[in-house]
Amino acid sequence: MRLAAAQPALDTFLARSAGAQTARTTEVRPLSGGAIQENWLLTVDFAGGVQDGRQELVLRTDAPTAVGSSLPRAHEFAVQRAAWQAGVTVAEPLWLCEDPAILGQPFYVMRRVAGEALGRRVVADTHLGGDRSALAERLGRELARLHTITPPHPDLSFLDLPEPDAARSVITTCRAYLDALGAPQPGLEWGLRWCEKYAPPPGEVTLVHQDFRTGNYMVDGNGLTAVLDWEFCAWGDPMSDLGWFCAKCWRFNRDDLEAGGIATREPFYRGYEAESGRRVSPERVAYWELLAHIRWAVIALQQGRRTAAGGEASLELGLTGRLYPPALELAVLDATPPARWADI
Amino acid sequence: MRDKPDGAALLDLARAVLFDDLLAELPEAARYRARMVANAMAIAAREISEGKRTQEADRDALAALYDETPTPADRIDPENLDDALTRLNWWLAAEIRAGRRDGDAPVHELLRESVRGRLRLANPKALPSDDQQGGNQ
Repeated sequence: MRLAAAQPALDTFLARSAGAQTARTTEVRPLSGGAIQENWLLTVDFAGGVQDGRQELVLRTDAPTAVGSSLPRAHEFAVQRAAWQAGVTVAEPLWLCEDPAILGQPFYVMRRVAGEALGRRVVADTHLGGDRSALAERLGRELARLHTITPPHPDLSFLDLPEPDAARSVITTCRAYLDALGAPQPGLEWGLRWCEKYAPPPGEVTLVHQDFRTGNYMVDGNGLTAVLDWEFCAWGDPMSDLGWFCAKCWRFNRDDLEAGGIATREPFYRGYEAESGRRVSPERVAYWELLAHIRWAVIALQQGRRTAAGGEASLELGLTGRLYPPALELAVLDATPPARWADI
Repeated sequence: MRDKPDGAALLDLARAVLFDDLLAELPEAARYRARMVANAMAIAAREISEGKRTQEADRDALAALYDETPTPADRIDPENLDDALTRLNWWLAAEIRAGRRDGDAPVHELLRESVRGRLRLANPKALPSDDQQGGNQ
């Protein structure tokens, strides 16, 4: 995307949104992260208005490789704002622009938050994130705050209506995506069938992040600075977010630290329970961990097909589609041997 | 019979140059991309040398499950092999989804063998360690 050509129009939009006399973007820099979205760091000088002075902002827009299941930017903006209002630690969402005349596609602007997000770095570098047990407890509390958002919600009416049975809904979606890929995956089907047969009874429905894991939050030397990537939010089973966070595929070579490769489950569950007043169900979380492997395999297969644009991002997507699905599939098969199909 | 060195050997040679010579000269910011390139080349090389055998093993196991004898044409025509695999995998996937293979031990074993074969091609480091020694490097 060529931001330079769009800058006069962008500056006008920023000034108007902030109620400033003028806004002048002095620096534009692409931020790493996100095969799906493009993020740009903007340094903007505002004259007057609520943002008076120099501000560091992040502009988020679609990249050409967007995955079908992710929310459009306007919806992501609404979800991020709802999370902000619920007290979740997110970058403050500021303004949404749906006028295609400015950048050619919708975008939104949020306040810049500093920190490191890269999963393998967060796990390996223990100088990051402060005390790891405290970080896990904090993340549990963050998730609990997100789960205070329940349907119906006036600002989130664009989300698909909540299904009474969240697990079956995820299974149906995965099967539809597999069908659309046109390449049969009997190993993943095996796992989906097990999940269908042994689905826990339907429970509470809340807003769920659906990609809450190490790699999607930022930390600095002291602790958490922001939870990122809100584009997969939906109504679902709150335990699904805990399962996704603890799933073995998101531990970045620290299998012993079952809460996202940063801590044991105990502080993570403790933070969640203290903030939510809800009991964590280990059985439900374990079930959702299995479904997490399947859902991530399906998403990786989809990403592997999105290589048409060429270039570095496409190579990364192509490799994602080859490296991860078979490893996840083997983990799913090992978790569902014939002995675990015995009817109870 | 392919002319020597064949595609797989050339990819291995090229990859060695990338890793042993070029990587050290690249700026830090470019190394991640260079590793991705090397990884893609490694997968391609393994697929050239082992891909067909992996597919044939898959096809034979599926054919045995469905009492189909692979025709000689399946063995020599790579496109036909692909078609046969897709057809048999589609059938098995449909049976599993319909609940006709719940907990079926031979199917489970077949699926594990199949995915281990594909892992050996795409991501051998992700194989459990007892499989790695027996697999192709």
